[in-house]
Amino acid sequence: MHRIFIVEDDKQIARELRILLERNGYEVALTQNFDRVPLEVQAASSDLVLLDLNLPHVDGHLICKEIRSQSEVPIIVVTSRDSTLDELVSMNFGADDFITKPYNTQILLARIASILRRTYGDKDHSALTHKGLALDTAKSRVSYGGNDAELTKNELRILHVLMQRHGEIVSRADLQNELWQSDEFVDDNTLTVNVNRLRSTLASIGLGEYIRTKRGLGYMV
Amino acid sequence: MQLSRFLKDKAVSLAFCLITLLSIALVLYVFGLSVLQIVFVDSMLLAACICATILDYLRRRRFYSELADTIECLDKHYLISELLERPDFVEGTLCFDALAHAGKDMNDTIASYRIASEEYREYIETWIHEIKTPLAAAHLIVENNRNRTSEALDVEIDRIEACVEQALYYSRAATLEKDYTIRANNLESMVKASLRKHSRALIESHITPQLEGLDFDVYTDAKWLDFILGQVIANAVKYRTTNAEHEAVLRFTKESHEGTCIALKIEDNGIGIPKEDVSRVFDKGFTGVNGRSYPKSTGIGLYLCKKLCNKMGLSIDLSSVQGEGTTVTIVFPLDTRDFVE
Repeated sequence: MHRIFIVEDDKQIARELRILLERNGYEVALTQNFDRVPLEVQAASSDLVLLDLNLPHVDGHLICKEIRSQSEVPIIVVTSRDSTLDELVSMNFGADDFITKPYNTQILLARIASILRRTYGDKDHSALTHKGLALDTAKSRVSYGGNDAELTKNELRILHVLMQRHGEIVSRADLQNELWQSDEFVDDNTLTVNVNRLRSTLASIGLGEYIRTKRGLGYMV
Repeated sequence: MQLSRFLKDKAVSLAFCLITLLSIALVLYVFGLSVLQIVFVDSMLLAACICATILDYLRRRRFYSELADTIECLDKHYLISELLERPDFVEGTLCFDALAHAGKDMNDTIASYRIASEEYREYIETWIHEIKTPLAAAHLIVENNRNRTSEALDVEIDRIEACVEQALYYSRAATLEKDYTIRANNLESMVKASLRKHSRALIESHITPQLEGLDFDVYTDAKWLDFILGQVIANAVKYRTTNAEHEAVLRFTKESHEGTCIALKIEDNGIGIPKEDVSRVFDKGFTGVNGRSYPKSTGIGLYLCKKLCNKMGLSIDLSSVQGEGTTVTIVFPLDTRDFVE
C-alpha cells in the first residue's frame, strides 16, 4: 500500500482528502508542523507528496525545493493560482505534476495513480477483481474462470468504472462522462452499443448476466 | 495661426495706429511742413508699426502652430505641455504654465485612479484564489458523501465556480496589463479540454460534439481560449434546440482564409438569435429577446469573449438564423509577428 503525505493548511480539505485517499486504498499522513515539512516527509517515508503552495508563513516553492534536495519522492503541487509562472516555478523546483484547485477528484486520483505507477513500476493497482472477474487495466484484458478476452478502450473504461463502484448504480451519464474524460465524445446510442458489446464479450468468457440494467437509472455490477 | 486671423485680432490697435498717424500728419500740416516731409515722418512711423506687428506675429506663430500641430497628433491630449517649449512672450508663458499645471494635475488624477483600480483588481484576484479553497473542500465533501442532496449541491457548486471564473476573467480583461502568454497551441487538444470541462452540462442536455480537422497549431493563450470556448459551449447548452426530434449538435470545424489566418467555426443547431439582436450580442449587458425569455442572462459572457479576443489579437464573430442555429467564428492570425509588440 502506498503512503501519501499531504501538506495542506486547510483542515477541512486535509480531512476530506484523507478520507478520499484512504477509500481509494492509500495510506495517508498529514503535516503536523509547517516549519518542518521536509523533515516530516522524510520521517514518514512516504511514496508521494501532495503539496499545497499557499501555506502559512512558508513558501510552498521553497518547501518543494527542500524536499527535492533531500529525496526523490514524487511531488504533486496543488494550488489555487493558475498562472503559467507558478506552474513553471514549481516544475523548476522539482515538482512532478501541477494541479489547480478546485480539482476534479477523478483527475487527482488518476494523476496520483499514474505517477506512482511510473515511479514504482508496480502493476498491482492496475488489476481489479470482483465476483471472480479479473480486469487488468494495463493489458486491457478480462479473465474469468480460466477464459480471457481482450477489451476495446471504451469497453475497458466502462467496465473499470462499474467494477470500481460495484454494488452501486452507475448512471448512463456517469459512464458517458467517464468516456468523455478520455476524449471519446460518445453520444447516448454509442454508449448503448459499447455496453452491449461489453456484455457479449463477457458472455463469451462465460459471464452472462454480469452487468445488470437498472431501468431509468443506469447499470450495476 | 493665419496672418489674417492675427490681424483681425489686432484690428483695434492697428486702427488706433492709423488714427494717430493721420492726426500727426494733420498737426504737422498745420505747423506748415511740406507734404514730402509729412510723408517721410508718417512712413517712418508706419514702418515701425508694421515691423513691430510682424515680429509680434512671428513669435506667436511659432508657439501656436506648434501647439496646434502637436495636439492633433497626440492621442493623450493632456500630455501636451510635455512636448512644447516654453515660449518667450508673456501670454504664451501664461498659457503654457496653465497647460503644464492642468496636465500635471490630470496625470496625478489618472495615476491615482490607476493605482486604485490596480489594487481593486489585485484584491479581486486574491479573493478569487481564496474562494477556490472552500470550493475545493466542498467538492471533496460531496465526493466523500455521495447522495442525492450532495449531488444537487455539487451542481450548485459548479455554478458558483462558473461565476467565479467569469469574475476572474472580467477583472483580467479590464486591466491594461498584459497577463497572458501567446504560444503555439494545438487547437484540437484545447477544444477537447474545454469539452471535458463542460462534459456534464453537455451530456445532460444530450448535445454531441463533432470535431473536424482541428489538428493544427494556433497562436493564443490556452487558458484564455479555454474560457472563451467555455462561454460559447455554455451558450450552446443554454440555447439548445427545443425540438425533441432534432439531435442537438455542436460542430467544431476549421476554416482557412487565403492563407492569412485560420478560423475555428463553432456551429450549434439551437434556437438561434433574432436578426435584430445579432449585431449587439457582444455589447456589455445586452441580453436581447432570448436573454429575457431564458433565466440568468447577464450579457457579460460574449462581451468578455470579444474583449479577451481583442486583447490577444484574435477576432470573434457571430452569425445566426433564428430557429436554425448559431455560428461563432474565432479567427487566429497565422503571422506570429503581429504579437512581437
